[in-house]
This record gives sequence, C-alpha cells and structure tokens, in this order.
Amino acid sequence: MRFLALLKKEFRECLPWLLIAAIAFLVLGGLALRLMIQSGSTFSYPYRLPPGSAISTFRLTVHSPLITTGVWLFFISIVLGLALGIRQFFLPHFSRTWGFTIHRSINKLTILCAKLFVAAIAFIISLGIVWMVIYWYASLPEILPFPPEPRLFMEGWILIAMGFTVYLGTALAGLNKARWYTTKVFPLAFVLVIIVTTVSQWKLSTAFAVMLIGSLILLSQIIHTFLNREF
Amino acid sequence: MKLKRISKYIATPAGTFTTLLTFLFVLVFLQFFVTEIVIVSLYKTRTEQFSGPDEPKSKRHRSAKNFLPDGTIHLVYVPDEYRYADEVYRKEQIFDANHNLLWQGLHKDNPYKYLSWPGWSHGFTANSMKETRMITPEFSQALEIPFYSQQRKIEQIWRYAPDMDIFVGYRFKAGIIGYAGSTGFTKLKDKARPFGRFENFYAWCPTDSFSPTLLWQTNRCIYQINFEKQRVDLLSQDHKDPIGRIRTHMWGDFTSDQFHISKKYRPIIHINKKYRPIIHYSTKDGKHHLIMREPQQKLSITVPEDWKADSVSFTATQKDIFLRRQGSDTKFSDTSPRFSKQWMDSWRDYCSKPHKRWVELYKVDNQGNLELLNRFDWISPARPVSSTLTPRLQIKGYVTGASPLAYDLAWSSFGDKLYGLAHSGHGISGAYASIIERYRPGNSIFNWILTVGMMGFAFWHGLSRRTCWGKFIFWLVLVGLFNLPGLLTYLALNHTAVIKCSACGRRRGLEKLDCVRCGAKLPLPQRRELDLIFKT
Amino acid sequence: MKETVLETYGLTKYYGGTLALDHMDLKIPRGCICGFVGRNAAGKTTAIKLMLGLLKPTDGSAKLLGCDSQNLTPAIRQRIGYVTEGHRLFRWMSIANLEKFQRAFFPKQWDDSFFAEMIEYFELPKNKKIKHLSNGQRAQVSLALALAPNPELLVMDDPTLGLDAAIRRQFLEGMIQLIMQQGRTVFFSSHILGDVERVSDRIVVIDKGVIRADCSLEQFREAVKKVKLSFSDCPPARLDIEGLLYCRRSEKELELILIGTDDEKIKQWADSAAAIKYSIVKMNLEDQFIEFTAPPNHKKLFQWEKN
Repeated sequence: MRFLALLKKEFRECLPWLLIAAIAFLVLGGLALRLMIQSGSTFSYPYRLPPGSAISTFRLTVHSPLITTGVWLFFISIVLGLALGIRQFFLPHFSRTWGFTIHRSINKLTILCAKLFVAAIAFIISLGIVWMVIYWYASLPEILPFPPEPRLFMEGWILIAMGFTVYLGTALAGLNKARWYTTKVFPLAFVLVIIVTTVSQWKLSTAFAVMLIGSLILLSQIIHTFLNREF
Repeated sequence: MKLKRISKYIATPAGTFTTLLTFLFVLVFLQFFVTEIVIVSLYKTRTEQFSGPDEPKSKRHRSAKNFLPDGTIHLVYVPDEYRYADEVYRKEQIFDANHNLLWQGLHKDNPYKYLSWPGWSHGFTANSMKETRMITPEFSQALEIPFYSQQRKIEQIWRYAPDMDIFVGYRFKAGIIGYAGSTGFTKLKDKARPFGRFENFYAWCPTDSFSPTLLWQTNRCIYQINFEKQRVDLLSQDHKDPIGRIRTHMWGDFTSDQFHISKKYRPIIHINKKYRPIIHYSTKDGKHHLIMREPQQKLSITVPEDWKADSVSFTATQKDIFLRRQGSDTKFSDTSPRFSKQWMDSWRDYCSKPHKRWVELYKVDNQGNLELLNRFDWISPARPVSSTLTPRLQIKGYVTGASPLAYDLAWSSFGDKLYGLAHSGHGISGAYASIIERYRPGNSIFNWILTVGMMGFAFWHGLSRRTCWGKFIFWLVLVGLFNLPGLLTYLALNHTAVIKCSACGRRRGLEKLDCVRCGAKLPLPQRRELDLIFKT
Repeated sequence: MKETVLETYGLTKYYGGTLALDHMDLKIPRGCICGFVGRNAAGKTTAIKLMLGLLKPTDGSAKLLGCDSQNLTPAIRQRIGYVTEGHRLFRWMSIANLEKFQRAFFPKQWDDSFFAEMIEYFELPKNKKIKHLSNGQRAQVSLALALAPNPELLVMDDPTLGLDAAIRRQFLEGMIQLIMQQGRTVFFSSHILGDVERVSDRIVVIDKGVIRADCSLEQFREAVKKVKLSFSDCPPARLDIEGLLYCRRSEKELELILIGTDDEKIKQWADSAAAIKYSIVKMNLEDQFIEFTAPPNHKKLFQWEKN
C-alpha cells in the first residue's frame, strides 16, 4: 500500500511529460512517415542504371523510410529523459520537499525504486507503445512498397533505452552533491560517452550490452548516492 | 546496511571511472582544439623544388611507365599545369626508354593502345558494411539490390541480412518471395546457405539488364550474383588460405568505348573490346589467382619469395596474359607512429637519398610460368623535406605535456596492436587507439615534470585529508598515471574541507575523527560557568 | 525515571570548515514539551535534521525512540511526526490527495476523524491544491498531517514561521490538543519565544552550535535576571557579584545580567556597592533569551539605538 502510494504519486508527477512525449512522437513520427510515403521517396535506389554501367556500391545502401521517425524518436527520448530526471531529482531539491519525502515509514531504497520504476514504465508506455504502433503500421503491406527490416524494431528500442540512460544520468546529476557545478553534471558527460559508444556499434547485442553496462554503472552510483547523501 | 556497503564497493570505482573518463575526453578535446588552431595559424605550404641535374631524373620518375602488348615501354609525361586537368583537356608527352620524344598532344588523341591495369578498387568492404549498420538516430542502412522491370519500375528488392548472411527477396507490396545464398536462389529459408564471412563486393549493370549484378567476395570465395536471372555462380575455388586483396577490371559486359562514366563512379576503367575482363586476387599463402572471361580461364601463379615486397599486377588481352612488377632497392619502413618525431626523422632520411626503381613486364603462359618481356630502371631523385618540424610536432610537446603517462605505458606494452587499431580499426576502439597514438607524451621531460608536480600537489593536498594510507597511495598512483585528468578527478572526488587542529595547530581533514597529524580528537566546546545545563 | 525518547551524544556537524553544531548532548524524556530556541544560524535546523537522519554527523550520534538516527527503521519513523521547516509539501497535490498519500504510510494509526476535525477547525477546503494555500494554511495542513497518525514523538522545525498571531494561536491550540494526550512528546524549534512560553515545560537554548541552556522553563525564567542599579557617583569598577554574565555601564547607572543569583545576594551586593537604588527588571522569556544569548559588546544597529 505504501509502495503503491509512492508509485501513484510519482506517476502523477511524470504523467504530463509522459503524455507530451507520447503525443509528440505519435504526431511527429507518424507524420514524418506519412510524408515520406506521400512524397514517394520511400527508397533511394539508384534509379538511373544504364545497362553496362558500374554502380557505386554505396548507392545500394538505403535508409529506411522510418529515417525521420527514428530521429524524432531519438530526440524525444533524450528530452523525456532529461525532463523526468529533472522532475524527480532536481525539483525536490528546489522545492525543498526531500525532507517530507524521505521521512516515510518505508525504506529509502523503496522510495528510489518507486521513482526509477515509474520512469522506466513512462518510457515503455509513452515511447515504446507508440513505436510499436508506428512500426506495425509501417509493416502493413499496403503502406510501404517493401516492409522495414525486422532489425529496425530493436534499434528503436535502443534509441528509447538511450533516453532512459539520459534519465539515469540526469538523476545522478540531481542527486550529486558535488563541490563544483561542472562536476555535478559529469554524469551527463558520461551518458554522452555511452551514447557515442552505442552509436558506433553495428551489432544489436553489443549495443544493448554497452547500454546495459553504462546504465548499471549509473544505477550503482544512483543507489549509493541516494542511500548516503544528506537531504 | 548490506546494500549500502555493496553499493559503495561498486559505486565508488564506478564514480572514479566515469569522472576520469570525462576528464580524459575533455583533455583530448582541448588538445585537439589547441593543436588545430595553432596548425592553422602556423601552417606554411611547402613546395618541392627540383632544379638543375635533378630535373630530368624527376621527369623520368614522374612519368607513367606504360607497356604496349609487345612489351615496348613508353614514358608518358604530363606537365605540371595539366596534372589535375580533366582527361579531355590533358596534354601529354610520350618518350621511349631512351628519353626520345615520340609524340605529344591531347590525351584523347594518343595513338598508342597500352595495356591497362586494374586499380585497387576498394569497393564495399566489411568495414563499410559495419559503418552502414551502425545504430544511429536515422537507423541503420540496409544493403538492398533493386530489381527493375523493362519499364524501369522496381519489382523486387533483395535485402542482405547480415545475421543470416543471405539475401531475402521481397516483391513490391507483396511480401517475401525467396532467399539467395551460396547454393543459389530458393523459396525456402532453410535451404539458403550463408555465403561466408563477408569481405567485399562490387556491383555493375549487365548490358541486357537494368538491375545490378554483384561480385561478392568472402574470405575464401568469390561469387557472382545475378538477381534478374536468379543465379549464384561460384567464380573462385574454395582456398585453404583466406583471400587477400582483390583487383578487378570492370567485370561486366562492357562494350562501348565511348560511354563516358562520370568521375562519381570511378575508379571504373574504360576497357576495350579486345581485352578480356579479369579478376585478380591473392591468397594469404602468397599465390596469385586469376579469373578471366572471354575466353573463360582460371589460373594460379606462384611468384618468387623476394617479390613479396613488390607491387604485382595482372592484365589480359584476348591473346595473352601479362604480369607487371614494380619495385625499389629500398623500402621505407618505420613502425613508429606516423608523424611522430622518429617517423619524421626516418622519412626525412629516406627522402633525402636517391633510390633505384624498376618496372618489369612478364608474359604468363597457361601453366602460370613467367617470361620476362621487358624491364625499365630509373632513379628517383632525392627529395628535400623541410627540416623544420611540422606545426603539429612543434606544439605537440607542449600540448601533450598534460597527457597521461598511461598512454605511454599502453603504447610500450601494446603499441603494435594500438597502431593497427588506430589505422585500420573500426569504430570506438579505433578512435581510442588513435587518441593514444596522437596524444601520447612520448616520454617527454616536460610531461614528466608536470606529472611529478601534480603528484606533489596531490600529496600536499591529501596528507591532511587522508583517511587511510591505502586510499592515499591509490590516488597518488592515479594522479601519476593520468596526470592532469587524474589530478582533476582526485580533486573532484576528494576535495573536502580542512580545519586547524586545536592541539597541534596544523591542517586536518574532517573525514576522520582524530587528527591525522597528532591524533587529537575534535575539541569540545568551551563551556561557560553560567550555562544553565540542568539534567532533569 | 521516565523513558528517554530523544537523546544525543556529542552530536557534531561541520559544513565544510564551518562548525554548525558542537558536541550537543541532549536527553528528552517522554511526555516532555521541549522548546528548542536559538538565534539565526545557531544550529537548530541542523540539529533536528541530524536527529531525523537527514544529515550525517561529523561526530557523535543521536537516538530517537531507542533507534540510532542514521538507521531509523520504517517502524520507528511511523511513530515520529515531522513538520519540516517552511512546511514544504507537494504543491501539485490537493489536501485530500495529501491525506490519501499520508494515510497510506500509517494504515493502522491514521485517525480519519481527527484529521477531518482539524481541517474543519482550520476551515481548509479539501480540494484546494497546496500551491493555492497561504503560508498559514500550509502550516495547518502540515500540522494536521503530522498529528493525524497519533505520533509518539512530534518533531517540528519552526512550525509557526511566517504565521500571523491569530494563526499561530490556532496552531498552538492544535498542539495543545496533542499535548493533552498522555505520553506524547513534542520537540520543536522556534523563534517565537511567546509560543515556547505558552506550551513548553522544557527549554533548550543553543548559541553558535553550543547548548547554553538545557533546563525546565521555570528554572530558566528564575535564573536569568536583569538588575538595574543607580549610584550617586561612578559605579564601582570591580563587580564581584556571583553569576554575573555581563554588565552595561553608564555615568551613574549599572545594568547587570545575572544568571542563577538569588534575590537576597543581589540585595546584599547592592548594599555593599553603595547603590542608591536597585531594581530587578521584570522580563518576559524573549527578553531573557536575548540577554542570555547577546554578546556583551554587541554593536547597535540603528543610530537612535546608539544614543
């Protein structure tokens, strides 16, 4: 019951951001796909192939019609991560409600878990479900000439996971009681390293592994800082 | 409680790692920024000047050595002013081996038909495949081969699935139509066999089709995949040793000499009908293999051991097969990092001496035996290289003063691997190796002085704040290994307040209750006689 | 001997290099209403946060209801009510939502009717959001939320901060409600000595991080005295009276702040010093507190004060 009360409270606080992200991605991502379909530029194959000619091999590598949708997903995911991190971990400091929050008849760790759990659910609900809908729509035979690669579905989840990593970095930055403000935001610099490392991977499993390891590093620090910091 | 302790053992090193990593990247960024700004302001163009007795030698050296099918050699010289002009406007002079002028005029009017050699066409390599598959916000790219109808509309695409190593075919708005693997095209996924570890591919359009055909190279085989005819032909035999580099004349039914391919699609070479297109590849055992068409022929050639350092190329006409060997008496080889001082010294030394070079033409018979047709020798003149350090080197010593000693340690232990990664590595590991190669201090005195200075500061700073000797020594070692980033990490994580000890008067930290100098506890407050402390 | 519900042993806190709390030793028995007073930046909030485990001490320890404050279990926290400084609550919640939220953490203890009575008494609309309430109304909600679970120990950090006199009166009356229930202990910090005087039976005075007084209210009231003496000539240079904290001199007058000196001894000294007249100035708790904690040579702020 206590945990449920915490979950409800955290969920209610995150709800506006969750809704904005879901609506923004549905509208912008879906619109981007519709525009690609309507413009006819759903593929960029070399359409001028005179018989007997050579072909630049790079013209045979094509972007999916979901290209702009992916960009929107990435940016909305990052913004959602920042927003949730600030809402859950910066705002209590500015509004000085940490004292009221911490003095509960519940473990400190449970309070933290409620925040993290709600944030994870927020990403899954707001972006994950919408992404599944968009991907399913793009896979319908009558929509695109050729269905998108199955791999893209997992790549979309990696982009969502990047946003969650940004959230963890922002959370740690909010909890950090660093002496200098620049070192306070170092977790975000580390998140940038994780994202760059992930983007340079070409295997899905390696990309997921990088995200997982980076997130675990951040999570361990979040737990340690939350349990030991002063409020 | 337990979780607090467990999280401390994971979080503390994790925090140190993330902070150090961030500072390392900040330092690299600053070093790069400073280096490039200074380079731009200090850069002076250097021009090589040849004069006097060296000029004819230089001309000979810079002339292209072209062979006629009968073995005669011509030196084709392009004056400097036309060196970068388009082929249509390029003027050239043709000399014989004795430097007698045979002809001069526009390139397009050249009356001689020389043997043409395949270029090192890089094609689409395994690294290119990885790059296109990178997981970016724009999603990864797919390799898709379109199949056009006669009405120039796309009917099908064949998409390469790297995880299955086969092609999957889709019909326009109709779903999957089949699979293509090493054994051919099939409607059943289970019957499609993988091609093998991908190395390279080229693509062209056959004369009777609007759709691409692929030359697909794996580590052991070369396939030709025709999607229109739904055929997979194994061109090369399955070798025990992996295939090395591959060179091609345009492997296609290329008929027109007049057809002009724009520069965008270079390095495709115009070929004449009388030549038979050739694929030349070498295997790791040093053998060279040829696959030819019109007439169809396959050949394996073994060259002498001492040819390994030389450049070997093949070409073929309707009648004969030829081998060209280019070599030099000395080769430049220095495995130091490029543009390092040692490398620059070696390069300067190499360029400052003339070198003997040669080119040989051999005829290859059907058994792979070689017959020398002609040989041409010349001397490449000494080239003056600026004796002053490049701008990059000039400031490198200062900029890398703050670089970690750990870079030098890593280089001395794993230098070869790091060099390889930096220059042919892919992605993030190549980037890290490149950073270490470029910004390592190179055991400079300035770096050592800075390192010792920073360790001294950390020692002074930490002496009054230490909680245990183990941690103190750990941080000193970290500062020593990582220099400025190490010191900043130490300060970011350990800069706590100090107060004056009431007993000994020296600075002491507050992490420990007892003074680290004299062991005195924190002083009790001075009680006034008139304090109203009544315990009831 | 009464059970101790709140105790500290050498509790010390440094913020950086600044000493905020210096070896505080305290023992508050059950049923006590203790006023914790001090000037600005004396260390009151620091002490309270240390006791509740929101801060980590540099040295020393504290115990609440027998449990170390750095490891307060959920069960112990359930027995402690806490009103934060400034009454910081979730601004987006309404009073009804806050009630539901708070009630979830006290499933067995929560007194619905008591909370409803308090809200009705303070005339607070339940559906109004916290951000739309005034400071005083927020303070009332805080108190109601803290009292409704019937805590054994109520810790309040300057609960009447920013409240007007009428609201303060209401607030204190609410507190008295709680006090009347047996076994409840209240530990509160305040700048308003009048409030402390109204409700407390024990006073703890802290000055620059050091406890200067820890006694019953009566003891404090009796101990701190101000004596004014007039002389025909210059007042004596040497003041050998017992319990002298400090004195103020003028041409022919002396003002003495005495601690723990009984009236008889004052009379004796006045006679021996040949004072024309003397009087023991009647002070309220606020005056006593100011004199007790003021440094002897403190600078006067305003021009007219200097004259």
